[in-house]
Amino acid sequence: MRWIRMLSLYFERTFEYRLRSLLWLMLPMINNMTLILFWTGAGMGSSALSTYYILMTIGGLLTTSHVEYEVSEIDIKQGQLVNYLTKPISYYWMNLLNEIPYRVLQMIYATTIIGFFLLFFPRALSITLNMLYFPLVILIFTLGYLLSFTFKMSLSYLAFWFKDIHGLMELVTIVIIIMSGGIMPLPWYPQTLQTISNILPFAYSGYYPVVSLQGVLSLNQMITVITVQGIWLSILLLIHNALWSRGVKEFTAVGQ
Amino acid sequence: MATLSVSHLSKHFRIYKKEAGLAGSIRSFFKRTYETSKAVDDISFSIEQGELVGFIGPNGAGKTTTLKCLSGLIYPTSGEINVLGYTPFDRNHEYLRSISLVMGQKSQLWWDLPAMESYLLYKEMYDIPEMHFKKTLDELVTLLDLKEILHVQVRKLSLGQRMKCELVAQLLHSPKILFLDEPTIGLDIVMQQKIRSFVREYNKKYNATIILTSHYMDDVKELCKRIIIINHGRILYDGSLDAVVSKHTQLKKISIIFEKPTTQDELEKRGKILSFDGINATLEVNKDKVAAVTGYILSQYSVIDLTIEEPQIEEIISGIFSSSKV
Ligand SMILES: Nc1ncnc2c1ncn2[C@@H]1O[C@H](COP(=O)(O)OP(=O)(O)OP(=O)(O)O)[C@@H](O)[C@H]1O
Ligand SMILES: [Mg+2]
Repeated sequence: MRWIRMLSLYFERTFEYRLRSLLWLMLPMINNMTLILFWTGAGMGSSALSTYYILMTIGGLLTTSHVEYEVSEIDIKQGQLVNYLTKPISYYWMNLLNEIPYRVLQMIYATTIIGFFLLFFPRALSITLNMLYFPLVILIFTLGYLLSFTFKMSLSYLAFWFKDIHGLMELVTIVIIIMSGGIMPLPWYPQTLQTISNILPFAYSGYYPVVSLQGVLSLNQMITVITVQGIWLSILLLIHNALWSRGVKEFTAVGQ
Repeated sequence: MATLSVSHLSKHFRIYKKEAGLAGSIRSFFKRTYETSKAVDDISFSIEQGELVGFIGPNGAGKTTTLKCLSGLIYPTSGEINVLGYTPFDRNHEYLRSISLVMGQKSQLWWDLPAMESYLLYKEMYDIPEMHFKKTLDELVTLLDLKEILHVQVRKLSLGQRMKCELVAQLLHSPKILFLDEPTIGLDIVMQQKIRSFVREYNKKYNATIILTSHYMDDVKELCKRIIIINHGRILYDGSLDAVVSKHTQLKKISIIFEKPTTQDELEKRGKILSFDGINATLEVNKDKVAAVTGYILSQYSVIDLTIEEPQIEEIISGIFSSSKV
């Protein structure tokens, strides 16, 4: 109950910024429009492919966490972390609570957009998912988001030690886009790259959630995905906790 | 056992030095030079429950750094801190529930929403029971007189109004220990007065332990029996305010207005004459002779007015800051 009441307060705050969330959704959508139109256009693309890109764009919005700037720049470097450290609540949970309203808002937009395509461009978007599996898809998306969130939190903690982690962040973003299948479906990659992608956690918060929604995964494959997600989440949480407990000792509350 | 005890606490910061200009940037790219700043340098003290202690020192003395260590924000370089049986940096949730850190210059409230929303969030964070929350909020709102502004967006409040809202936010969970870092900074005299009497009230009512830093000596004078003076990260004095004041005021000034013009011959024998024009006189007298001298004057002359000037605490304290010994 306590958590739900807190969440509802965060929701309230999020509505103060709802425009921002809308923009976040629209920008990548527009960015990827060329790809989507290219694959839908003139009958030369396959519907499976345009489906992939549309879902990838939407899926990325749902599962990609954006805590890194807030945590590394505002909280750690500018010292706002002070506000949280004195509260009897974990910083990890606090950030998670803070992000959930955005996720929910974006889920609403995402559903709208999927509905829009299904209605007006049915050929561009074909979802063959058996609706019985839908709860599993939701679980996969949730775990995918938690993977991204935990990874980004841990990465941001490097700001406790390093003055400037901008370059690193950008590099990591590129790696994530490639490894999560943001450029093209993973099976198109060369074998080694495919293997690496399947080992690293990134595909499990990008590629796999998307193809599970698309409906191309069997029940067994979905269960494998969930298992790997669970393992990676545990590993990332361990790393997260280790980085946090060491990093926070370096925190000097500059400028506060 | 003391409520709060600090022993041999040090906090050193590593500061990265860069020479100005491009050449400096290039050089420091290859070889970084660091300097260690001893913000807090081996300090020890302890405080009993219910004490209200003034923590004073010039800019950069190490006051805020000490409070940050006490509230578990930063990890001490060395030394031990024990507050209510906890080590602050462990940030045990029970510990965090029993303390509060109020920083005068900064806001922890949600900027775009009314303060009330932040209070509701704090209620959940600190897990404050509904009844208790209502009661405390009511009390605080009445004490600080902020009923009207409770539902105004925080960004639209004046500095003083915001400070009051801030204070309420930090006190909703009824902390037993308060760390107040310049709570009256930037406030007008009336507001300073209000905050001060509020702090005194809080201290009495809940028998709360309070450490207060301030650059306004009035805060310290009116609130704190005990002061700790710190400079360059070291404690210069720890004891009663009265004691340090009387120790540092050997001389007092007596100003007299006589009814009729007088001569200064007799006065000269009693003390050093600072000014004299026949009607008005100012004498400087050793503090243990003040009683005798005033007695003499009052019995020998007809006097319209006589005042003994209290020593200026500001002068004494700044004297201590620069002398670096007491
Ligand atoms: N995060 C930090 N990183 C590096 N140096 C710091 C940091 N915080 C404080 N210092 C240095 O430590 C010293 C003590 O600072 P502190 O903020 O404790 O002083 P203060 O007594 O609170 O002063 P003021 O009255 O100006 O608030 C200063 O020399 C300051 O430059
Ligand atoms: Mg300070």
